[in-house]
Amino acid sequence: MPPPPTTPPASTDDRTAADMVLLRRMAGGDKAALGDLYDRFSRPLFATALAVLSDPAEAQDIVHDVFMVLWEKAAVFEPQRGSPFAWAVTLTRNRAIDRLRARRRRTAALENAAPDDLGYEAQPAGADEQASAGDEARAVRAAVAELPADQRRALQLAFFGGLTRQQIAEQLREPLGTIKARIRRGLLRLRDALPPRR
Amino acid sequence: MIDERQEELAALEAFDLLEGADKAQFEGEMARNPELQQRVQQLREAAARLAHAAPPADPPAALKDRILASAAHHRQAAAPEPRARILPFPVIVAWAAAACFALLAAGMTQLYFAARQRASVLEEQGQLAQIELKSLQTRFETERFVNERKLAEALKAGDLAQMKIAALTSMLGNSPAAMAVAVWNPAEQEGVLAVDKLPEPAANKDYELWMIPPGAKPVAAGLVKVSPLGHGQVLFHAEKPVHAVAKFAVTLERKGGVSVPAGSMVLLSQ
Repeated sequence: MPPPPTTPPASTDDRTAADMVLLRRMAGGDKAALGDLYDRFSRPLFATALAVLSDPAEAQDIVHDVFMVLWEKAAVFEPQRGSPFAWAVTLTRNRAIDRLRARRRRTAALENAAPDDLGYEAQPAGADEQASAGDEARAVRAAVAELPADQRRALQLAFFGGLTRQQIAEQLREPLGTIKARIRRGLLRLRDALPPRR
Repeated sequence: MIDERQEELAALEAFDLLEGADKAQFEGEMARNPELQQRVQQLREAAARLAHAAPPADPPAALKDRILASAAHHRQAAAPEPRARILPFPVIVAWAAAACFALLAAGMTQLYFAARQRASVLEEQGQLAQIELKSLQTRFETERFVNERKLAEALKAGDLAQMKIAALTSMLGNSPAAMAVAVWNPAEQEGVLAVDKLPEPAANKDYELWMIPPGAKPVAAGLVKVSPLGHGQVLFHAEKPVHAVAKFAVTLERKGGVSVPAGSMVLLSQ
């Protein structure tokens, strides 16, 4: 029998709290909870894997494997180490990057995986509403669009590129110290700009 | 107080961009600094939300059904026991003892640092934390002493001088904590590999162990199965006689393994 949902920590934002309840239900074998978590996570996870790999079939495999990990390990999830969403994204991104690096055709794949700019500034407000994951996605994309272009580019390469910090510096033709500073400033700015997950 | 250098490293850690000695040094620093650990977690959360910044893409409609169907065939991990599990120390053969000792020592070191960190937070709350820290330190030292004694016994009992013992470290930037210890006994043409923190492979993949003789091609040494928590210990034999080993390696291969390595390198000895 699934364990009853328990009250999440007060400091946890609403969306994370709901995710944690679903994980607890999954730990008790509740497949409906797995379906609900899929509805909440699948789009950003699939989009992330696709952005890294540029291959829908591989991205689909990654998302499948990640949800199996979430299902199998729901009982050993440690909330003090991060949110369920961050856990799922980390699993997805790591697996996608591992697979990218495993390919022998690394150079070509990386060029495809990390386009020069994802084009937020060029999009009119709300242009992607229909296709995006909703309010959360819009809020994140707006926050990213507000970043200075050099910081935004550094974060995009760091997250989606599957590159080392040295490779990021080489790709952007900047000293390594400059890239590290951009990543720090960009990520801190993003953290401060992002609203709680609702 | 977190300075700019620490914050820079924390941001890189949030993207898994720290590697090698830099990563090890930062993790040590983080283990002693709860504020720094919290900052890394904050930045990891912010970085994870970049997933929403990927170009929008909908997964295929059939994927949900496929996942729900697969869930019926996947065994779920049980909730962890409240107390930390102490790894058993096999004493049947010398090399197995040596491998387990090395891995256990590494695990106990991590346990010790984790305990120290936990205790440092609690110290602010009073005397109780100091007692706990003392207790954990004593436990660590005691277990280390016991294991060293067992290793010494193993050294006396077996021809360990003839054996090849190697630590394998992670080649995956995204699974840096994965590690293993391999011990090969050329006289018996047998060995043991103990792995820890190695993520489970995809359902259609297997980890495969390779022995690499000096100046020769890798020799397959069998599949490496890991538990859902990343542990594994296998007795292995080479496909053909191997009298000297320069390196051990673990690769990720298609299900069932291959005779010539083709997949990505996961672990490699120095």
